[in-house]
Amino acid sequence: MTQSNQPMLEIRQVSKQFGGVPAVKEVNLSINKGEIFALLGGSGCGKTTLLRMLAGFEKPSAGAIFIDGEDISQVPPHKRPVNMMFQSYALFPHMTVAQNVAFGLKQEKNRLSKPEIAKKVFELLSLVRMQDYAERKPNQLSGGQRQRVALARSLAKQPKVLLLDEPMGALDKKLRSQMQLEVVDIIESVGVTCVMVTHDQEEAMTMADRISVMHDGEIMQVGTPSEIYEFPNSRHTAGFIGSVNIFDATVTQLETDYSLLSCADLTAPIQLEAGINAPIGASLGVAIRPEKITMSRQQPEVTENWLMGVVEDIAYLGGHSVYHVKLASGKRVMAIETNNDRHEQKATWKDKVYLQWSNTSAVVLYQ
Amino acid sequence: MSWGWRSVIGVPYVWLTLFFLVPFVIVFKISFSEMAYAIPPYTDLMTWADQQLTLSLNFGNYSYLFTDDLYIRAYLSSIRIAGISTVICLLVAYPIAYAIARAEPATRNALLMLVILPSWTSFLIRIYAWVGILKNNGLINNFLMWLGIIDQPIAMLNTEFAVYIGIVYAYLPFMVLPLYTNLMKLDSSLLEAASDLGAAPWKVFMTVTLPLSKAGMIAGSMLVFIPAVGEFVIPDMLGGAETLMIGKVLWQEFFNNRDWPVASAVAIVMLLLLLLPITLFHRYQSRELGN
Repeated sequence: MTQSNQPMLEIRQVSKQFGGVPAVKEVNLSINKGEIFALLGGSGCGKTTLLRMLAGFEKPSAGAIFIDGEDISQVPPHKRPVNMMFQSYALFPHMTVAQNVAFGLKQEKNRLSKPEIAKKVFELLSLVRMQDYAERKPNQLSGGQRQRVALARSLAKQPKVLLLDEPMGALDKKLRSQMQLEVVDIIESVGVTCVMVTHDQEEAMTMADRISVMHDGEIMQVGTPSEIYEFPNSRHTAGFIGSVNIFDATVTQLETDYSLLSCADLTAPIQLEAGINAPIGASLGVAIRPEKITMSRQQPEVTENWLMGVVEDIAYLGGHSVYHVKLASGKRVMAIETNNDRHEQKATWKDKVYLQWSNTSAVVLYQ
Repeated sequence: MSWGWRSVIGVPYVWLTLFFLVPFVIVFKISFSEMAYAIPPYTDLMTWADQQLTLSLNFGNYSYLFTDDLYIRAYLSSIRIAGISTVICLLVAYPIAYAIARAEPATRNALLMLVILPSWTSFLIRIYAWVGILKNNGLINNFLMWLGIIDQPIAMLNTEFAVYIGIVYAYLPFMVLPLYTNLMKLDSSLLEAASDLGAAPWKVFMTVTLPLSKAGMIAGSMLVFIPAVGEFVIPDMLGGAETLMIGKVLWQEFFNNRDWPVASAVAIVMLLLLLLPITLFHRYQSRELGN
């Protein structure tokens, strides 16, 4: 990946209101050249509005958007160096695949000659392996084929920023995982800067270099997929990405190399390897991912970071099983066990089990 | 196939047979008979005399239509007037339909109502009202003279101009409604995609909106053109003696001359002329559906 000092796309203090109702609130983002950046969030979080502002379909109520150092906030969509792949693909139904891909090229001021356009269209269709379908109409293509054509069309004008709106939204699950990797390969081979919008965390983590988690019009956290997953900074992010157990805890002891917290749901204290940015007596959340918890039927010989409960539910998923363990307080805790032994006698319903985690597993959530 | 299914599909068939096919066959039959001073005023095609059944088909009514150039001129001028009216209707209706389709849902229904509302008044009264507006001492002329723009009334009534006004006015809703339905279905993301790919607003309209509304334009044009060709009331009330249209000729043959066979032949030829655009329309429609 090539990364220059100047960001390719910069969003500064951008807000958008619809009839007084805020959809996007003072968003600041800086996206590097060649980066695949995902805006991740549930419906109504403002991610699509933000994307539409990048495309120019909506004007920001406040703030500015810079592409390659140039303020494009007031530039109409047809004059922006940005192209979008629509969720519905928005292929023109009255045009062939080749005409769809050529559409953008034909709109340029210094138009290429006809044979040049034809050559470019063929190259683009070869890039997405659709060169044999050039004369088909969009309704004669399958979902995956339509997506390839839509991608070729949005790359035709060599945009500075490529926008993907829920790129896999219209595909079934199996095709989705295949296309995710394929689309990333194509985007990376072209080297275009890409901003995608998705509500699917798996998709964001598979495709993006960096993710920004959005909630209620605001950006909650920006980071690489593993940063977001391993170091969530809020209860919302921790809960939105993957499954998580969150304990409400109170700080009881602060040392230089560790801290102790107590939790009403647990008998044993929680120990963290690092210090906490909060005074003794502060209440905060502690997040522990289920796969970082180990389960046993014997009481562990440790004083911290363990709990006891009864297996209430088991979700067998083949490669692993998710155990739902009910604590004495009534709280439920999830633990993931890998099924690597076919004959192993696992804990079953109503079994009394002990869950345990290391002092590096838990993450403190301040908000 | 169940009984219920048959009866549902059967009702329109019975209706069309009774009220369309049977009258058509009767008219078709009369067009091959000869005029007679009797009731009804034509001869029978089949006669039974001396144990002989005689079928006499008279093609004279049809050949007569080509001997007098009145009929050919009437057909051609009907097609011309209907064609020009259709084009004017299309040009007027397109922006109206587009604006309604783009309006807020609440305003949209009110606007649609305004398009349909005039049809709640009798057709005849609405056309007659135009006489009052267009005549020499009518609304327009009186107003212009009062303003001092003209000192002689402009002759508008009893001209082709008045016929165009009448047809466009009366048939506009038939153009607006199919266009509106079509434009409503237009996926707005297609327009966004075109603009995203660098097409200026007018180019988006020319390359996406217009081609995708072709079906609506064709349907609306058929709904205006076909009845306009045979229109009688409008040319009779607004067109005067100057305007030659086949509907008027048909009326004269039927009621003034009481020549039912020639009138029937005129009607059959008109139907044949309209068959061409109708089949073209059907072929287009089935091709669209096939895609």
